[in-house]
Amino acid sequence: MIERCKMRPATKILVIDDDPDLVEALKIILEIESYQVVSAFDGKEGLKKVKEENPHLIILDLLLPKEDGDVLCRELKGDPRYADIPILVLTAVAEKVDIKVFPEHKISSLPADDYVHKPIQPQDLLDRVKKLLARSK
Amino acid sequence: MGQNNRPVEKLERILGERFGIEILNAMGIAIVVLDPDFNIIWANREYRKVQEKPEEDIVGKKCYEISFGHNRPCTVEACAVRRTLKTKKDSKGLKVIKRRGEEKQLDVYSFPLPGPRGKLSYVVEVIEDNTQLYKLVELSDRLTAFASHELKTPLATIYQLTTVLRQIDLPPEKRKVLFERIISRSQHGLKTVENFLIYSKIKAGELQITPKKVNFYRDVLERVLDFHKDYTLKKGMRFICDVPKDLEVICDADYVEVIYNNLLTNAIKYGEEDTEIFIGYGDKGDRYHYFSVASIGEPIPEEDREVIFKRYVTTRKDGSGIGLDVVRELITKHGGKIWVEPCYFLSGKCLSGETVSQEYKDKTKEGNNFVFTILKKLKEIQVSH
Repeated sequence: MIERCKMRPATKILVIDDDPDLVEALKIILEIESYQVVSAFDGKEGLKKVKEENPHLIILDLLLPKEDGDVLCRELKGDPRYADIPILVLTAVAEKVDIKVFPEHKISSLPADDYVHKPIQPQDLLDRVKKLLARSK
Repeated sequence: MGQNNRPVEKLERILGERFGIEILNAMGIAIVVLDPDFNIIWANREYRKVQEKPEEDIVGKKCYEISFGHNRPCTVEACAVRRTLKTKKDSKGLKVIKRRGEEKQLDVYSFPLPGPRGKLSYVVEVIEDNTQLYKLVELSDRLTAFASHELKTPLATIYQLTTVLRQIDLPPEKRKVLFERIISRSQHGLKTVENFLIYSKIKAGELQITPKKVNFYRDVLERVLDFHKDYTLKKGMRFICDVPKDLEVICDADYVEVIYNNLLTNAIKYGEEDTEIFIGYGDKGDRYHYFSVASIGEPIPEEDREVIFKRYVTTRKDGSGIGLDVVRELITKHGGKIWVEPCYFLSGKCLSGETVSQEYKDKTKEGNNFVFTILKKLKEIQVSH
């Protein structure tokens, strides 16, 4: 069992994914380290939440309703106000398998800070988040 | 039987020296004869058809000019004819040409035609237009990739929820909720597989329905609505069901459930959050039952309203293009039709069709209403168990 962290200054993480169950699972994992988790279920809501919540890190899915994750990723990284927020892309789109179907989601061309496939081991997620947050400080 | 009566000789007498040429022309495969400088000496009818050019525009011209509009030969790597000229051996390759904006994928086989003293005089190029075959292979690859993705999504979530349950100490009530989510996601995964299985049955021409008289609300809708309840709640959506509870319909309840599952999945996925989904019924006094599923969301453009029901067609980036095709096929089996029309919502009411006044349209939210019919007198089959 992974132990819960007792104290941590509020570090806000925005999870953008259209799958509410996955968001719930990620929320439980991230709350182990006492991160404050906010969520959005489509690209447009994601952008709105970035502006409203000013998160320290974003976990982003690629196939999203209303605005795709890759479009949002490029938009945020191209905007000096949000370019420094680390983005961890977490998606079921596998680079080698699904690129034929989703050519626009070529991971290697995305300006994200890290990229990982769904599903992810809880400890792996926490390690990656920690690393990205440390790098952005 | 005398020599002169042999069928071949009869044909030779009728066709004269054009005997061989006529046979080559009758073949559904393109054949062209080239000299070592790539000049076209002769081409059969199918070659002219593939190139979409008349004979006078072909003979005497360079093959690369005809195929690609180049003024130079293709590379040895790309051109089977060049390889045959170089090696004096058979060669094969793939040629992609463009005609009227469309690509044609041609499989090419080239053979040397030796002249006197073994000197290479001509090359015969045999061309098969396999554009349709390549398209089908591409579609099949695409479908496989979509099927894998659609299955991977629920499986990834189930795995994620399971790892959380296994590795994180959670209060019992939270664990119960997550277990329920896992069950629900597994059911959704099974429905996805079911869709693909039905799809393959349709493709193989093996889909048969077993119509029986059912209480439509109890035997179809209640099951469907219960199945989708969680997802609608998560999006803040709710069902408004206007189907008489005592409605009896002759149908295959399992397959009608599949129809609703597809329509409701789309309505929930593409509908706006915190809105209503209308499930309606109408009887116009004709031969059909009219059922509908309407939701608020971006209206489907008029030009897409018919094509979305065709095989492999999807206007959504994350769709496989088989869901509505399956729906259409199942409805056809029930003697009915399906179409989509724009609709308008105002304070718990949904109005659909062309009769809606402009004043009403201006005040309301737009959406899509999927209407389908089922023949009232569908022949009931007595199933013995």
